[in-house]
Amino acid sequence: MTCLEFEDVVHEITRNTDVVSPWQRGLDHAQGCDRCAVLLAEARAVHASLRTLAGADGGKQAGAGVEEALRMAFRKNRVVVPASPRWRQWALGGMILAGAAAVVLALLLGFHGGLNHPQQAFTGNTAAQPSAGAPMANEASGAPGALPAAPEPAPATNSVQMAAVAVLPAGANSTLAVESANASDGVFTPLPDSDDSLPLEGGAVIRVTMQKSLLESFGLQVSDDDASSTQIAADLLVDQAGMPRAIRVVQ
Amino acid sequence: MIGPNELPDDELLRRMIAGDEDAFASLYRRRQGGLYRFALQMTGSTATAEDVTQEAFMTLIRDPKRFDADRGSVSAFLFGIARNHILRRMQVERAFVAMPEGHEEEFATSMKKRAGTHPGATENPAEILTRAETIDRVREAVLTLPATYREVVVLCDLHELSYEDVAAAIGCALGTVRSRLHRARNLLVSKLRTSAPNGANAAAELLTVINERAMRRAI
Repeated sequence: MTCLEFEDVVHEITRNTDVVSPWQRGLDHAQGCDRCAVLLAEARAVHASLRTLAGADGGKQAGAGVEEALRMAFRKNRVVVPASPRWRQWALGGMILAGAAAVVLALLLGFHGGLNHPQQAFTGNTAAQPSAGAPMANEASGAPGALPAAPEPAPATNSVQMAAVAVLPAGANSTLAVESANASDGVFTPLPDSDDSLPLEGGAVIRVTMQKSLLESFGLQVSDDDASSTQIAADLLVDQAGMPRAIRVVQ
Repeated sequence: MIGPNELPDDELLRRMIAGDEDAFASLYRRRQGGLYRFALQMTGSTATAEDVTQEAFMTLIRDPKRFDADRGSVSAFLFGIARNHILRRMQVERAFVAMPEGHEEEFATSMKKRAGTHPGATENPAEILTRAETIDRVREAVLTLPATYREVVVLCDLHELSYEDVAAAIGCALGTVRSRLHRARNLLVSKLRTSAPNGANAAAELLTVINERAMRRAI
């Protein structure tokens, strides 16, 4: 081994003290060459110093507050477990049945309400549905940009309003009618952690485009009709405080 | 039944993706120390090290599916994320971060504690001080290395990661890791010899020549 070759492997020799055979020629060379013996001694000293430094830092770690903050962040960003196909089938079947039952009930109520209170049903509830391609628009009924309040005399709880939004067909007259302007747009799904105690009056439906993956994280299934696009249009139901409460896919 | 602490990293990550907080906590506890020390040894700042550790795991929480088992271990993946955060911070600060004040006292205290509690410790205060000084000199020498050399020294020599893992973490070829490490160690030898109380000697000069030659060959 030449001095030049030794320079190339001197640190490897130091690092691999237990693997003698590949470096034996280097060690032999250093024994017969003062210059390379000095190099080897220096390299070993540095290696030992680095090991000492590693040992001195060995117990250092981040504070306990970091773990707590990360756990909180993890809970907020918790990834939704993908549902099994069988679970999805049952869920889909249940949703269809529930939706059908709600439609029948709403039609009955609407028919009954139409007989008794023909002017109380919403008249503007099919207005101004934006096209799916619009980046953002409000779905209005009555005042522009405002989500219509559930009319009297049948005040509904917020959960009922949201359920009505989810299942009522377009144009249906009902005392619960906060309609889905386009029936094919699907049902609103309440968002996790949404605060049902706040009223929806004064809120709005906002059309947005978002990543399909984000939508899926809300538990919504996204059709693969347009697999080339990663973006999809969705309606966000926001309350009067501006907090998103529910979401649906725009077909 | 196997507890989370006994599961391999990739299984913990899989469970974490499925929403298992305990799996995330186990992965964090297993890997946070290494990331924290990596950031500390790269920047010299405990505050930055803590921030980087948190940011690295936040990135994992937000986008865990970025991990690709074909490209390296979970550990290497995390070191890679931490490295990106460190480099970004260094770019922003545009300067090497000096060791914080009080570091030496903190270290001397820890050494005293270690000497007092370690069963085999028989060092006298002078030896402890000498060792503390040595460690400080090594730490400072590492911190003054250019970032590309510093990271390979920290990961290979201080954290004893395999060359493969280091290559995955810093996103370069195995041969690049080897050559950078070689040059980094030569630079370290030079720095340590010149910072020694007796000043530069023939070996340091020799290493400087070798290092320059290695640089020329690389170019």
